[in-house]
Amino acid sequence: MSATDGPDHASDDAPMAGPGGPRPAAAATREGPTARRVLELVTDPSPSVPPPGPTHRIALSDRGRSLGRSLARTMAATGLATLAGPALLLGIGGHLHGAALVVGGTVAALGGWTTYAAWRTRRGAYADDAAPSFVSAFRALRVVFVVEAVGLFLALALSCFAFSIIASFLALL
Amino acid sequence: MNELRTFAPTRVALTPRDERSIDSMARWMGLLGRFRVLAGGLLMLAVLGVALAYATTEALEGPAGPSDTTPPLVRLGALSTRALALLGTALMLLGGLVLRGGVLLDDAAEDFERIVHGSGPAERHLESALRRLRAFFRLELWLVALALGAALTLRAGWLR
Repeated sequence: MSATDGPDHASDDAPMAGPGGPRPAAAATREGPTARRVLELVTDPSPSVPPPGPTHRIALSDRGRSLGRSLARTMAATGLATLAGPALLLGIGGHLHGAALVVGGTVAALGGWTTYAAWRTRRGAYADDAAPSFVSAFRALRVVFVVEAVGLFLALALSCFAFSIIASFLALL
Repeated sequence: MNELRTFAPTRVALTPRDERSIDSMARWMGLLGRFRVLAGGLLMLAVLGVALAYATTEALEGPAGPSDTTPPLVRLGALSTRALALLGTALMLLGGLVLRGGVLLDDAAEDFERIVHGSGPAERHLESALRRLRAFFRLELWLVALALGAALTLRAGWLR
């Protein structure tokens, strides 16, 4: 290789100056191996990066477990009482019509979902990994909360409507 | 199985899909809690308003004399003042229970949201959420029992 080969050959020769030798300053400012090396360090996956998977790992203490079991018992009692309520009030096997059928059926369904959530919570409190059971219980509870929120909203709206009607009648009298 | 329960630490490993489910449940829980606070507060205010109006009217008009010829607008039938006071107290109690349940639900929803959004120690938030949820369901159990008792009493009275 002669000295008249051009600048490209000169840049190729620069890293070959020797492993312990000083690197020429011009090599750091050009598109050379130094810049590539920095880029590689950034993009290279490090072994300390955790593999994709659960983002939250919560260790449930004994206190948490007993809370889960207690919550499951309370939820089961509430759910069973709610489930049995319409049957007790309207008579088991009795014929339901109209609004009673809708309200009784909805209340019984809410009781059933609450009982299911209680069962899943209890399973989670006894399991090694509580997440699947707890999340399943929370999904069932979400159904209960959605139905209750819609029902309560309707009850509030109807109450406001009835109150305004009664107030306007009283104002007329 | 018992050895597993005693020595293996129970862990809750949440995937992003689980987090979305919990977040959605927490949002609905918070909404229901606010509705309950609103409903309980309105019920208590209504009972207080009716009691105040009744007491003011009674104090201003006094007992009806024999010279009153105009019939009253509303007849309360056999209801006594004591029965009305009992009904008002029961409704106030009901409003208070509903309001307290709403506050508990709202607090539990905030705890669940803190777990999902990763602010603070998740273990403490999970325990706090479970505790508040348990308190809410205890109140709910009382409400269901009271409603069942009242409905059964009324039904027995109607059947008699």
